[in-house]
This record gives sequence, C-alpha cells and structure tokens, in this order.
Amino acid sequence: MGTPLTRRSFVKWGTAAAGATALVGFTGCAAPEAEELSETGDAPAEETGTWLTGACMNNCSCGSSRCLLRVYVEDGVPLKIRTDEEDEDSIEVPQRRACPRGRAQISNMTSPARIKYPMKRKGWSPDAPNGEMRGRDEWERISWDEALDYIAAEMKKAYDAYGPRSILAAGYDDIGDTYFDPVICLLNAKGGAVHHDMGTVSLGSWPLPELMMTGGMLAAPDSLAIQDSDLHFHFGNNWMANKGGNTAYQLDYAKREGGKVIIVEPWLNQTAQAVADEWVPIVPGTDTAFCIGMAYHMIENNLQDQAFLDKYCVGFDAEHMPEGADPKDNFKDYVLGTYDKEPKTPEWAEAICGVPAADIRRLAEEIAGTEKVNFFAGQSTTKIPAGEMFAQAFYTLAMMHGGLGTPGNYASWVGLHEGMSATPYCMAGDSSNGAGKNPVNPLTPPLVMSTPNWAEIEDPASWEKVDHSECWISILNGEYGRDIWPGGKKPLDIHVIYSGAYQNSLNSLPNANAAIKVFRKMDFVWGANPFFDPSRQYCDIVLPVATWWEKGNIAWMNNSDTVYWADRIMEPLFESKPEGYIAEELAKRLDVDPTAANTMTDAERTYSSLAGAMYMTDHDTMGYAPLLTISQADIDELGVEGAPQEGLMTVAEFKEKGFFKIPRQKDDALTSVPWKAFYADPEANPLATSTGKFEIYCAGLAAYINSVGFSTISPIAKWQIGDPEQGAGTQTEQFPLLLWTPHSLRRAHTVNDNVVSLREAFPQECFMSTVDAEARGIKTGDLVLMTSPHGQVLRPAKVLPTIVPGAVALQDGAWIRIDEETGIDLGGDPNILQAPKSSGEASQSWTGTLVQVEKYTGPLTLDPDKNTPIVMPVGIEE
Amino acid sequence: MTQYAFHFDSSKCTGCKTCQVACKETYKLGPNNLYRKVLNYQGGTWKPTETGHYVPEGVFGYFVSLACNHCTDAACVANCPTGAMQKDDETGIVWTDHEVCIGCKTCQTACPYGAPTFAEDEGYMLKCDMCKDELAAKGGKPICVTGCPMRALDFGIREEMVAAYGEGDVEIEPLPQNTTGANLIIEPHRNAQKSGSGTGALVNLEEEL
Repeated sequence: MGTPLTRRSFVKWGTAAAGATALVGFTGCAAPEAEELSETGDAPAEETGTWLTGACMNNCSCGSSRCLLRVYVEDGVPLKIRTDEEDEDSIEVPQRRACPRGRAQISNMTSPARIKYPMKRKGWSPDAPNGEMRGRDEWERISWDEALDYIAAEMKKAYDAYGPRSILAAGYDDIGDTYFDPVICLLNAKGGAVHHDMGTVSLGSWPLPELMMTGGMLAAPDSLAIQDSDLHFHFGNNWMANKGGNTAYQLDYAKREGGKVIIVEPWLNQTAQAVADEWVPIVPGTDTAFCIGMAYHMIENNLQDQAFLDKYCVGFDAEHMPEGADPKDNFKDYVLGTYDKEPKTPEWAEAICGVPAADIRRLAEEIAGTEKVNFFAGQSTTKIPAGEMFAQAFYTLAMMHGGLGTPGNYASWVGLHEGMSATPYCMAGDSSNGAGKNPVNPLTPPLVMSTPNWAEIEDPASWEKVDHSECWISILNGEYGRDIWPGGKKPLDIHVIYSGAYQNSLNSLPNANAAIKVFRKMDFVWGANPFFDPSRQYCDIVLPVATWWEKGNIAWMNNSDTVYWADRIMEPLFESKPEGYIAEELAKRLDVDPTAANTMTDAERTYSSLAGAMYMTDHDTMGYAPLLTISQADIDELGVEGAPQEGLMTVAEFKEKGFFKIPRQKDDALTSVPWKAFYADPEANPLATSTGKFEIYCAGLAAYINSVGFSTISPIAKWQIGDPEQGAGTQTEQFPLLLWTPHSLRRAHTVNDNVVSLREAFPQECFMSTVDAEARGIKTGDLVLMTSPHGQVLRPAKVLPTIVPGAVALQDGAWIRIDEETGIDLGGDPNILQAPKSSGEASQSWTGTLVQVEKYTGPLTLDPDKNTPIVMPVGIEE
Repeated sequence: MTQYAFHFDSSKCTGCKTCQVACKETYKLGPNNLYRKVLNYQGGTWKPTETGHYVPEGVFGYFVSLACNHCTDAACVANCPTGAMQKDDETGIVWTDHEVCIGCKTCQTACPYGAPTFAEDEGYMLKCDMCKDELAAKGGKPICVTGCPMRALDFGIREEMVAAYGEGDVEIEPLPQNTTGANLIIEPHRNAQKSGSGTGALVNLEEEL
C-alpha cells in the first residue's frame, strides 16, 4: 500500500518529485544503492524513529497563525509530517492544524533548491566584478574560509572607500524573532547600512490612520467575540490564503452561529466561496467611493447613529468639529456636496466602483439596520495610491454605524486578535535580543511608526532609510525621497548589497527589472540563505544557511494564542551553517568583537525564549504571568545564568508536547472588545487621539501624511485618484486592466516556491474574468503575455466567472525566471509588472497597476510548474 | 461487511488543498500523481451596465474534495484484468496489489471519478486506500481528514456517517451520476448544481488534476 516510508524511499522520492538530482546532503548517510532503491514492498514500515516538533516559521500571515508540525525522524532524516491531531478539538481551543505549506515542509527543507556549499560566481573576481553576468554566470564551489575572506575584504573596501551608506542591507534593520539575522547586528556594529525598510509592506496604509483616528494600534476582536456579531461586513477577505490557521474556520463558525457574512472583493475568492453569504464584486481600489456612497444614503435617510457620533466622535458634521478646524470641512457636508456642489450619491459611487447604486443603498440599509456589525478590511484594501483614504472611509463607516466598544461591534484591519497585536494571549521570550545588547543601526532616524519623525530629526544628513517601493529606481537614480523633506531629496550611492536577513527583495519589491539592474551595477553582491532563490541567483558569493529545522532549540510564537517549541530536526544539510556563525566569522575578519555581533550563545537564546515565555491572565488589565516552570536543573543543563521560576508547565512537558495553547472560553477574561472602556465612560477614559475621541476629521493624520510627500490626503475620508498612472480611473487604451496580487497558498511570499506538491496544487496563473478573456480570445490554459510599463510575464490564463471584469490577478511571490532573449519573466513574479510608487506612509500602492493581457503567439513555451525543474547553480556538482 | 466512507462538507471547503498536499507528501507521490484532489466548479455570467461596469448574474463557485470513493460496485475492481484491484472484505476499502498490477490503466478509464493514477517509474497504479495501514496501526482517521483546517472532511463506517450527517448528495457537479455506489457522502454547498446540469464548468487547470 503506497510506498513504505523509509529513509531510502525518501531519498528516491526526492529525485522523482523534484525533477532534479537526488538529495544526499545528510551527514552520516551513504547514498543509497541501486538495489535498495527498487525496494517497494507493501509491508507497513515499523516506526523506529522519533516524533519531534518542527518549526513552521513561514511568514505566511503577519502573525495571524502559526501551526503545529510533528515530524517523524529516522536516522536523522525527516520522513513524515503530522499536525495537531491528538488534542481535543473545540472552537474555544481548536487544534493548530497546518496548511498545505506546513504539510510540505519536508519537501521544502530538503529541496534541491538548497544552497549546498559556499559558492562564487566564476566570472567574478575582486578586481573585475563583471557585474553584468550576475544571474547568468556559472558557479564554483569554494571553502567557507575563502568565501568569508572574500566577503570581509569587499565589505572592508566599501566601508573604507565610501562608508556605511554605500552598503544596502537588503532587509529590515531590526530583524528579530524568528527572522533574526545577527549579520545585521554586525553591520550595525560597523556603523550601519542602508535598509530598504521605510514604510509598510504588509500593513498597507492602515497604521497611521488607526493610530491617529482611534488612538491605538492593531485593535481587533478575538476569535470567539466575533460570534456576537449579527453581520460580518468584510472588505477583501481571503483569510484561508492570507491568514491561514484557524481564522477561516473561526469565521465560518461565527457565521453558523448566526452572523451573516458579506464580502466586498474583486473576486469570489476561495474563502468567500465557502463563507460568504453575499459577494459584492468591486473594481479593485475603489472601496473608498463605495463607502462614501453608502454614507450618502445613510445621511440622506438619517440612518447613522447620530447619538454615537455626537458623543464619541469629532468631525462628522459642522456641529462637532475639533477646535481650530474649519466647520465647512466636516465629513457630512463633503458627502452631501454642500460646498463642492458634488453630492456623493450612490450613483456617483457606482460610476467609480461598479457596485450598482441600488445595491449600495440596500447594503447601507442592511448595515444601519443591523445592531451588531463586525467591520473588517484586509490590508491590501489600502495598498493603493493615497491608500489612507480608504482607512479613513472604513473607520468613518463603522463610526456612523456606532456601537464601537460594545460586544459584537468591531472595526479592524487585523480581523482577529492575533500575534501582530501588541498584546498576544501568550508569547515566547526574546531569543534574538534577550540580553538587550544587539547593536542598533546608527543610521535609523526617529520614526512615527515606520516613517521619519521630522520633528525629532535635527540633522537631515544624519539618517538613511529607503522606502520599499521606490528603492531600486532610487538606487539607479542616485537619490531618494521628496523635495519637501527637510534637506530635500537624499543622495544615494550604493556599492555593495548584502542579500540576507530572510529577505528575497530582488523578487519581493516592485519593479523587479530595476532590481536586476541594481544588482548588476554593484561592485559586489553577497547573499546568505538556505535556498538558491532569485535574490541569491544574482549574487557574486552565496553562503548556505541552515534552516529553522537545523537550528531549533527555541520557544517561539507569532500568533496570539500559541507558543511553540522548535526541536532540532536534523543536522545542517550539506555545508550550511547558522547566521550566527557567519556573523562571528565576519566580525573576526572586520576587527569587531564577535560577541558584539552575536550577542548571545545558543544556550542563552534557548533559555531566554523559555524564561521569557508568558501568558495573559486578564485582557483589560494586560496581566501576564510566566508560562513555564524552570528548575535549577534546567538552568544547569543549559549552562546559563538564570533563576528558577514557576509557571503552568515544566520545560520538559512543553518540549514533549511541542506547544502551549491558551485555554479560552467565550466571554472569559481574555475577551477583546476594543474601546470598551472609552465607550463606557469617554470622559474618564479618553482615547489617545488629539481630541480624546474618534477622529472622523483628523488634522494630525493629514498633516503628517502630507509631510512625507508621497501622496496627499484630507483630514476626512475623500475619494481621489491618488496617482495619474496607477489605479482605478487611470486605465488607458494601451493598459486597460487593473492588476492586483493576492496571496497564494503555494507560498509564504516567496518561500516554498521550490516545492513540487505546492506548485501542482496552485499553478502560478493569470486569473482573468470571462468577459476580458472572451474579448481577447483567451481560454483557460492559454499562455498569456502580461505587460505593464515596467515589464512582461508569461503565464497560463485561468479564466473565471468569479472575477470582476476589468481586473486581473497574479499571485505574489513566484520566483523570477527571466528569459534572457526576450526579457520576459517566465516565473510570473508580479513585481516584474509593479510600478515603483510609494504612497502615504511609504506604503506600497500596487493594487491597480495598469497592465494589458494578450494571448501569447511567440515561440516561448511553458511546462506545468510542477514539471519545471528548480533553477540550480550551473557548474556546481551534485 | 463494514463499509467505510468519507464525508465531505462542501459548504465548509475553502479549496486550501491541505488534504491533497498532506496526502501527497505523506505518501511521497510523484509530480503527476494524486490520491486526493480538490475540484473547483464555477458558473455565471456578467451583464454590462450603463456606467461602463458589469454586474454578475448567477455567479457562484464551490469546491469538491475528491479521493477514491471506495465504491460498493467498484468499476475499477470489476474491470481489472489481473485482480490487482481489490475490495477488502472487512472494510470495503478498495486497494491495489502492486505485486499483481501490470499498469494497464483499465481501472483509470473505468472509474467514473478518475481515481486510480499511474506511477510512471514503478509501472503500476496508485490510489487512495483510506490510509489503511495507518488505521490498522493506530486507529484514527485518514490524514486528509485529520488535517482539514476547515473540519470539512470526516471518515467512518458508512452507516455512522449517514446517521451523523444525513444522506447528503453525491450527485453534484462536477461529479458524474452515481453508478458505482460511491461511499462518499457530500453535504452540498448552497450553490451546488446537480450532476449533468451543465450550468457551470470545472475551472482547474489540467496540470492541477
């Protein structure tokens, strides 16, 4: 029955499934003999190995979920994966069942895409970098010492000749937790580097509107509290792919408890197909107009909760404006068109968003007529030019409905109380900076969230931080920013790139063709990663990094309600090593104390993650207590400094079980009803906003956003075309379609794109509507060429009746594979098409990139993704 | 004889394919072999409006997770020329004896659900056996069932599944009419179309199936 699960058949499977050569990286395991490979007997294999807990630290959802992987290991080789199946499964404490990405982690960790050895590009030498060959060259294996010597020499050269501002560390400057990279600490100790991490990627344009309009961050109901809602009115919800874990299950449960689900989306996505009672198709990026159209109908018919608005909000009407504001600038008069003579009627909204005026009226009445409404909007709804406008419109709509602060009435862009929240229900201790000694990047400016805090910057030349979206074109142009910044645009002269820190930014940031030009223009590019992904393919020297499975031995978290233990599943494959080794070895070569770069020992990291683990005892008071009982013997075994402590479970129990799940019950002390205290007594418990109230009119928000200079907004929600070349309303004859880029369960961003079973399950497709496909003679499976002003990709079309006409989708994270003859990307990375346009709080505005899609008639062909070999470093022996 | 059956609640399925991938990864199936697959059936049209947009008319979509149905009158067993394809007396599980199978693919053609799949390297047919070794060793349920993040799949003795969930309806698009006594009990999605109604289409790419 099937194939017995032995190490031998595993190695054989590696060959078959990967379409590449066998994986023989396991130390101590001889390559299998031919006769052993023919073994296909039907007897069930005896289990002689061990079940361990393998981390699934994929950045799949910004903290919404992480899941349990139990990994069966025999002779040091992982053979099977199971998930949380044995514990009781209830809606209060659901099993943490892994998604397909988790289930495929053996294939990922042992993929032929692993970088096996330190490698150097054949055409590169210190004196002749031959940069044009990056991404095209052959490779040769070198020793760790050679590689580290080369890297240290090149880094030293750059520091000496041009200083830290000549180095792009292509990742975050404060990378911590599961993505911690001590190499960044080393760079910080050397005077820092430039990072392309100004602004937001995942979070869109939400943080500052939430902060300034509501006085907090990441407020959301918890997974049980949503059962109190009668209506779940969601903009852009594909939780199964975007949040994963139990989130879609919890919403489905809430629906079955009586809450109607309405999802406003450009497509009837996979989650909506299951959970939505109604789908409202909408042109991507036009939700602001839709909300304002509904607001008009509410105002016209006096359906808004005027008492709530009067008591808890400022800015809705002329009678409730904050001090200093022109009464004429209130929201109500904007909607009615009192002064601009343009009433924002449902018909006005329909012309923009495509939702029929009659539906806008009906939905407005349904919202107003429902007592308890759970408003939610996905992060990407604000990834549009001037995206803060939708955050403003969204909160305003929820405030017009009223009831915020009471059970069942919520407005959040997080959806469920989760790990991104500042107040998780349980957490691991800090394994990346538990000693508090990690050096910080001296070039980082004071920040408001993730953009510069101008008021606190004394010297405009004192800092560097490049925005994500425009980074590549900025490097090519030699400057970044806006003229209105204090000191004006900033010069930028990058000579060296370090491509590590768990980032694949050549693939992951807009305008990837410019990224390739940047990589090729550099004096030197080096990378460190477990996988030979596109960013590493364009390097001069790459170092093989050990995965989470090969490091392990920490407690970790990333969602609100679980702390996981990570066992070491296997020894580092091939010659891979942890980042800590790289940081220390480079430190020695760069005259930095290795302990200044790698500030904790492995044992100290383990201990810190365990001793700092906490669980919440009360949500209202933010009470926390230690999670683990740690004995002196535990401390002695690790050989670290520490003190015994009492908690809910022993370290041994935690490791054996593999995780801790927060016990929950509906309406328990952990229940999250945001703004509860404010609702109960707004005088005694004012919000942390400038007026102490919800700010429908928020002068501070507009003033700050406008000072960043990427786009301009009003203090109230107003619809606008935020960029003349991007988004709904700017389509041209040449580029008539709006691109948006949903997540795929095939990947966590770019991670896992090397896995055959996932490639099979989710081909990288151009999703298009039946209307647009028919107009172009395109059928499902046809190869189509997607073209934007910034590049071209070739992919099979999937023609669907479930996408709004005028919009096409290409899922994020596919690995770039450029056809050198034509320059066309055969891998299908949407960033090849995306425009380099920062917006608002330096957020990305890529929903609504203008594209054309045509049936492809040229000579290129594509095999199914599952049969397309993984890109391997040419010249490296297997 | 006891007959085991799968239960599938189509109204809960989000098409995440955890069932398919967990199975494929556990049994180390080749790139072109699946024991379980997830079908997406969609339909409806769009009408232009005066404002230059379109409005949907009867647009719907839903998923069906499909493995072998371990049919009571299994066509694969009836048509197998070598006797490799067998129905277990005690459990009703349909399985393939790889020692006997010659890889002629007759079963694949005969099966209305296309469940058996040909292993190129081994030269024999593969199919879902309801994780029967796993069940024998540990009890419990098949991997696809215990892994489903939406709790849309279940498994057990057919009568018990019916008692728990009702008879359901296995004759929904894109599945054919039930001519083989399929031991799959489906709770239909609210938009489910009857088999043969032809109102929509399977939208998966060929390479997914």
